[in-house]
Formats: sequence, structure tokens, C-alpha cells
Amino acid sequence: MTEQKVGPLRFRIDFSQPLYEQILDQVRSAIAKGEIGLGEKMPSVRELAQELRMNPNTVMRAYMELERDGLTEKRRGQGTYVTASADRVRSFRAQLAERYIDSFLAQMESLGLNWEDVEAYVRRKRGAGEGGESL
Amino acid sequence: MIRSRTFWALVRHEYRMKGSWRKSGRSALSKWWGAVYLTLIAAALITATTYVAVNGWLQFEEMWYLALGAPYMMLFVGHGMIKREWENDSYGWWLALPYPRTWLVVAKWIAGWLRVATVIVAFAVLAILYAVLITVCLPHYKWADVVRFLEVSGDWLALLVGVCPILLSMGQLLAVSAFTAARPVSPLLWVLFLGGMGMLQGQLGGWLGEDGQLVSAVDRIVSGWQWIPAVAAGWLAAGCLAWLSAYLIGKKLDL
Amino acid sequence: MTEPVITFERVTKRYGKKLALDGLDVAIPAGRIVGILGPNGCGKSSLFRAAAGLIRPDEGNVRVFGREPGWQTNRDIAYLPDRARWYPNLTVAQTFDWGQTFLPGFDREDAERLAAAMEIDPDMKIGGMSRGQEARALLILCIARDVPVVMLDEPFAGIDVVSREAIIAGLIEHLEDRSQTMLISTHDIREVEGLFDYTVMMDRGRAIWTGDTERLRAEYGSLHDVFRLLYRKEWKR
Repeated sequence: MTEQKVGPLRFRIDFSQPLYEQILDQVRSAIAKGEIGLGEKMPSVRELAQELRMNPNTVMRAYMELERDGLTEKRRGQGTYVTASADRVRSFRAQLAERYIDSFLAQMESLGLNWEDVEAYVRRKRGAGEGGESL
Repeated sequence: MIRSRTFWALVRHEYRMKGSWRKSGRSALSKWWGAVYLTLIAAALITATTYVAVNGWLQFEEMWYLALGAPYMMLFVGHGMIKREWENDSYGWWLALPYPRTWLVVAKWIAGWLRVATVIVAFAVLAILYAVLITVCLPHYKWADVVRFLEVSGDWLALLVGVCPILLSMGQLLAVSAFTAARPVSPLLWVLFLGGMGMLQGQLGGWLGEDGQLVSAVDRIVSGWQWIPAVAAGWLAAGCLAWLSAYLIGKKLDL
Repeated sequence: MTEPVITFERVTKRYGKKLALDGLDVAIPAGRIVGILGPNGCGKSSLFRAAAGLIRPDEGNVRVFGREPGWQTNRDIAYLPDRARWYPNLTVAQTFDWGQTFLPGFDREDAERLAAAMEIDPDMKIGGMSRGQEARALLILCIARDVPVVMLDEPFAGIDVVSREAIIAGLIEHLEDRSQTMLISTHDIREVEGLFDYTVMMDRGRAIWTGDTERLRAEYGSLHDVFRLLYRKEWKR
């Protein structure tokens, strides 16, 4: 799984997982992380399809979903741009963070750890810097 | 797109096509050698004929004996027009053309006919020019000989035109059968057609009259009342064989 | 749900004792890029030939646009035959002339644009080209056409890496903005995994898996992995 750079975006495509979701997730997190800035121009469907060697329809579907999210907007004749609304990106980032945290907590639960254990570990980590005590 | 213009464009394409990718690997050198050999053979023929002429033994009409090989050439051309699609690995393209199978077969047939006609007419023209040249240069040849030669040439041309259609179609069918469900019958067809041709040429001897001359035999065949019906039958048979070839490539391909 | 554009119903085709197609059941949906995948000899080419009306099934039936395949249905199909070569004495420009004359829907401008993009010299004779260049030119003959179905039988076989990349790039460019059904067969998955959104996996004349490629990925992993899993025996040879 190699990393591919398309303009400001970086992709890691794993062909053993559904592609549409990967493109969507990776673009969304790039926007949330600010790897591609507000109002910046997105690579065109064609560029992305060519670089990733993918069916343009798959890329197109992902782009349409991004527009539905409100994360991108299509400017007629000019292509697709990241939204200029910082609020939108912020609220999306919050949603994404929530999802990551939920997933993390689910994983911890599956290890048999509860919130107190996790909290204690995190505090220790922040206090001790590197080399904190492990759980 | 189903217009006659497209059909004639197909004929043009078939007429101009030459070579196959397998053969195009031959270097310029071997092509040069091929040309040299052909020139040598032609030169030998011309020299021999001229020698015979100089000694006064040549009857111009005898130059047409070369035409005895023509039927085989026609068969070969008909066969080759089809076979080369397989030799060139372009049979997929040819067969996938969105036109009736009869178009495919007949277009190749017409192109083959044009090629055969070109060769034969070229030969006739060269032979006539040669005859004129000899008559001008050598004293014992008269213009009457040239006129007679023209008449005989006319007879031969009529004969060749008559046999050409059926032979082209036979050649095509031989090639087509090899690639279709008729494959097992293919060797039988070869025997039938070549054997048939051999027999007919033998029959030609039956037409030799009192003077034992092939020339007058040809004249008799072509002038007789049976000639026109025979030619018509030949065209009909050619049409049937062409239809059969078209049917086989349409429904019975064995790829 | 639109009608499938090509259907095979229990199609069997024999060559002597060998079964090229063995009760093949496939319905190709319209507007998708369909990968016909499988090892050599699994019947991919026979599938294409049957859809192009070149061979007739011994049993079962094949329907293209709801009709029996033949030269009439081929007006709307661009077919790149397996391992096909071209007439060596023609130049690329003459080849495009041929396309204009004989292939319905052929777009000369599009062809010339693609030729420039794929670095094919229009005045060069096909006979003087490398296999890869010839393959690119023949691909253009198929995709520079405005037809509902394009069938490419092993377009990558025996082609050098550079031409392969050029062909893939050409295909992706062509696919944008088009609702065309494209069938591509290959026995080599490298670099083309992402192209297909519908997959038909074949083995010994039958379809062993058909469906959305994404679903195949979710169930089994990458097409590459699927190949290894399903065609294990192939590798042992």
C-alpha cells in the first residue's frame, strides 16, 4: 500500500477494502486536518482517477458525497473547491474526532479496560512525557 | 451505414491490402533478392521466346500456353484473400465488421477478381506489344500474324473470364472451410476441386480438333453455343459457393 | 433496475471434447466497467466471441441488447479481439480512415486527440511499429467510438509497461463523463484493480463469482488476493 500524492492530498489506498469509502474518508480527514486549506481547489475527478488508477465513477461518487457533506462545493466551470466556511470544517472535525474517540473507547472496552484505567493512563502520559508507565 | 458506398469502400480496402504482419518481417534484402529472381525468370522466358521467334518457329498464339496456369492462380488468389486474415491475425476485426457476411465474402471476391484481371490484362498487353515488336523487327512475321494473335487473345480472355468466377469462389470456400465446422470436409474439398480442374483440363484435349491445336480448341469452346450457358452456370455456381462461404463464416465458425 | 446489456443463459460451447464455455450464466449490467477475470483458458475469449456473434453456442442463449448477437448488434459494439494484429501496410491515419468508413460512431477528432496523447505518430505504418504502439493504436480504434458497449479482450497481453500505462490512462480519460458499458478481460490484475466496478470471475468455462467489485472486496479482499485464493491451482503449475 503505497502513498500517493495528488496535489495537496495524500492517499493510502488498500485494494483489499472498498475503495469508495477509502477515498471519502481520506479526503474528509485531509480537510478536517487542514492538509488542504479552506477554499483551496481540489484535484479534479480526472486527475484523481488517473493518479489512483481508478474508475472515475468511483471518484465522482465520493466527490458528490463530499458536496452533500457540505465539505466541498462545485464552482461551475472551475472545478471543485473545499468549502470556505471554517465553521463547517470545524464542526466536521468535531464529528470526526468524536468518531475516532468512540472507536478508541470501544477498542479499550474490548481489551477489558474501563474509563478510569484509560483516564489514569492518559494523565500519566501527559505528565511524564515520554516513557510513561504502561497500563 | 448500410449503404452501397460502404460496400465499395470495402472492396477498395481489400484490393489495396497486402502482406501480413508475419511476412512483413522480411528484410529489404530478401525482397530485393525476390525481385532479382523474378526479373531473371522473366528475362529467361523472353530470351527463350525471342530465340524461338528469331528462328521462325514461334506462333504468337503459343504465348497463351502460359494461361494454362491461370486457373490455379485464380484458385490461389481466392484462397489467399480469405486466408490472409488468419495469417495476419486480423480475422477478429474482419469478422466483427457490422455488415452482412455476404458483403465480406463478395468484397474479397471482387477485389480478387480485379487482381486476377490486372495480371491477365497486363500479360495480354505485354504479349501484344511483344508480338508487334517482333513483327516490326523480324522479316518473317506479318501483320496478319498479329491480327490472328489478337483474335486468339480475345478467345483466351473470354475463356479466362468465364472460368474466373467459379475458381475464385472455390478458392474462397477452401479457405473458409478450414476455419469453420466444415473443417473435416476440407481435405475432401481440395481433392474435389483440384481433381475436378485437372479433369477439365484433360477434357480440353477432347476439344482438340483435326488440327490438334489447342488454339482452335479454345476458339471452338468460346464460339460454341454452349459457351454462354456454361458461363452463366459458372456464375451461378460461383454465387452458390459464395453464399455457402458467407453462411459458414456467419453461423459455423470454429475459432 | 435497468435491463442487463448482455446476458448469457446456461451457455455451453464445445470444441471437440474441450468445453470452452460450460453452462455460463452471466448478466452484464449497463453502464459499468466490468472486469472479466480469470486464468488463461478459462473461457474469457469465448465469452467475448459469443457476445460479438463470432461463435454460436451449442446450448443456451446469448442476448445482446435483448437480441441474438450478430453483425447487426455489432454496429453498437466496439470489440478489440484477443491477440489481434492489424494490416501492416496501413498508416495510423489510414487506419483511422478505415475506422471512419466502417465503424459506426467513430469520432476522428477524438481518435487523433488520443493518438497525440498516447504518442502515436499518425504517419507511421503499423508494420513499422512495436507491439505496444500497435496495441495503443488498435485501442484507439475501439474507444474513439460513441457506442453503448466496448469489449476489450486482453488489451494488456504482451504489452510493454509504458504502453500499458498509456492504455490505462487513455481508458480512464475516456471513461469520464460517459455512461458506456465496458468489458475488459485480463489474466493479470496488476495496476488495473481500481478500474472495474463490476467483476465476473471465470474458471473453466463458468462464472464462479459475479457482482459489484466493492462487494467482492468486502467479502474476499483485493482482486489480487481473490486471484490467489480462487486460482490456487494456477500458481502451482
